[in-house]
Amino acid sequence: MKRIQKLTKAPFLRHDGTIRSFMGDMLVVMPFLYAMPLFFYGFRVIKSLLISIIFCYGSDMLCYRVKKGKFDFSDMSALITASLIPLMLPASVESWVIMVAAVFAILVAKHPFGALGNNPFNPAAVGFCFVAISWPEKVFSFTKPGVWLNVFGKIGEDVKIVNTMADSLMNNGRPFTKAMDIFSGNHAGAMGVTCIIVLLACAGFLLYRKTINYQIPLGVVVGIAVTAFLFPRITTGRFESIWFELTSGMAIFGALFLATEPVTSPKHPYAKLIYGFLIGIGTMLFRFYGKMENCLPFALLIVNSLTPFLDKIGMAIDSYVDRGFRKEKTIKSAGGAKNA
Amino acid sequence: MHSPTFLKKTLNNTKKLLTRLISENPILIGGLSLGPIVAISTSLKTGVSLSLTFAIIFVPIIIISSFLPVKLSKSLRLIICSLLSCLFFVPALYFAQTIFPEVNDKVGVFLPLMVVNPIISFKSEQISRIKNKLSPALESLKISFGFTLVMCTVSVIREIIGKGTIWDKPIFNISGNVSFLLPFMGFIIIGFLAAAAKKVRLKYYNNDEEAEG
Repeated sequence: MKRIQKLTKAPFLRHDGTIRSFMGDMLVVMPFLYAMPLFFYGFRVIKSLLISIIFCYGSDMLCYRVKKGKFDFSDMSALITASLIPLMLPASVESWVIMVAAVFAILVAKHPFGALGNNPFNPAAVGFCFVAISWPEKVFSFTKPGVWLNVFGKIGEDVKIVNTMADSLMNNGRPFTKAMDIFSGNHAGAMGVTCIIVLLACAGFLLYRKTINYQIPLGVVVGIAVTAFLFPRITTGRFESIWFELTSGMAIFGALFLATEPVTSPKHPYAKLIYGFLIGIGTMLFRFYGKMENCLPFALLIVNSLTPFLDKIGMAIDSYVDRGFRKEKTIKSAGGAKNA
Repeated sequence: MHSPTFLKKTLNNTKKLLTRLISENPILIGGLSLGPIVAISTSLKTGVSLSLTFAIIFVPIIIISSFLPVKLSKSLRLIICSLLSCLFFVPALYFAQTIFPEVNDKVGVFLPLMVVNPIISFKSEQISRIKNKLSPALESLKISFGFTLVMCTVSVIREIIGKGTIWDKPIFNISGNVSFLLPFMGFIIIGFLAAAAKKVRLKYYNNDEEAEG
């Protein structure tokens, strides 16, 4: 397999790997992300995933055919997009919503900009945002975990739609979900975003493999935490506000799997921190003034458009810090020479 | 009855005209005047209303600006054109209010903004260099048709998918997708149309080069 020697084209990797190994690492964690939803909601989750994969790959092939290009099976970016889309949606969502999200992600967010390595916006986030704006009543209707849903057709007559933690916070109410339930994902929400312990385990693996870097998730977490501390939406305490804001919606999931996409995120370490921080603050602003529960993808798309600018800022900070360090070194060496 | 050669010739000419309208379109190729198209082209009525307003302002302005002296500075030419646009906006507004009174309220600030349309300022500068006084009139008509074509195409697409209607009459028994009425979808549709126009343009110029070669 061809190794990346020159960092000329995105996705940029900072370790001795290939695009395939990077995509492979992301795909390795996907079964773990799907394990808990499968346990809570049944085989409907697998159906959603299969539909997403079929339509993402179908659209990808169609685009390559229109462009008269060769479809590369080793390019697994479509598979990652296809895996991420159902995780952001409720298990009860109809198949056609997933189809639309998958097709929109590939046809609008990926190929018009030049496909792999050139898309300025995260395709999975674009697909989610489109269906969230178009059919919010379907995208934000969550069922109680532990009740298996019908695989085909409607979810079942006895299945009730319940409020999520993000919904309670939106109405300035304190969620009464226990910490254990939050960690195990035993509360209503999108399929893959509720189980914090699995998300953290996957993050540990990806960080160890250097597939993702710590700066962006750290920036997002700090951004959300600082805003939640300064402007709490609940009256039971600032630290509780931080806890619930971080564990509700898709904050952790978005910080780990959406924001860290190497194509759309900045390349410079300082820029990555700022990028994450802006996503965190943007998410909180959407939570304060928006009408949607899971709003990190919207903030992410806005900050995606600032990526080149943030890279410039990162480089400027770097050169400033470097200059200060060099100056200090020169003064020290001059002082040393004088003493001698 | 017309002979087949005549029909063939007419079809050929129509095809050529359409190709020129698309390949030299100021919106799709030049990216000019995207604001009104993206923001308010959500129904065919709005599209037609804005296109007519644009034509009423644009055609006389271009003809008049072709008579302005060539030595006139660019800034002064722009000021004169803007003032003339304001003058022609009065009958255009009256016309739009008479024909589409309900659309006029929806269009809001975008109708008066036609006065400072970038196509007008851009073309009035370009047209001053043309010596033949008939071609500015034809050019302005061509651009007005091009503007109408894009405006109506985007409006029809957004109205059908967004509301499930055409000319405010329901055609499908569907509720429509509200996101098609939002500006971001206007940008996406314009983007796809621009890509198609670029393809037509490349093909048109390649064919021309081959014919010349």
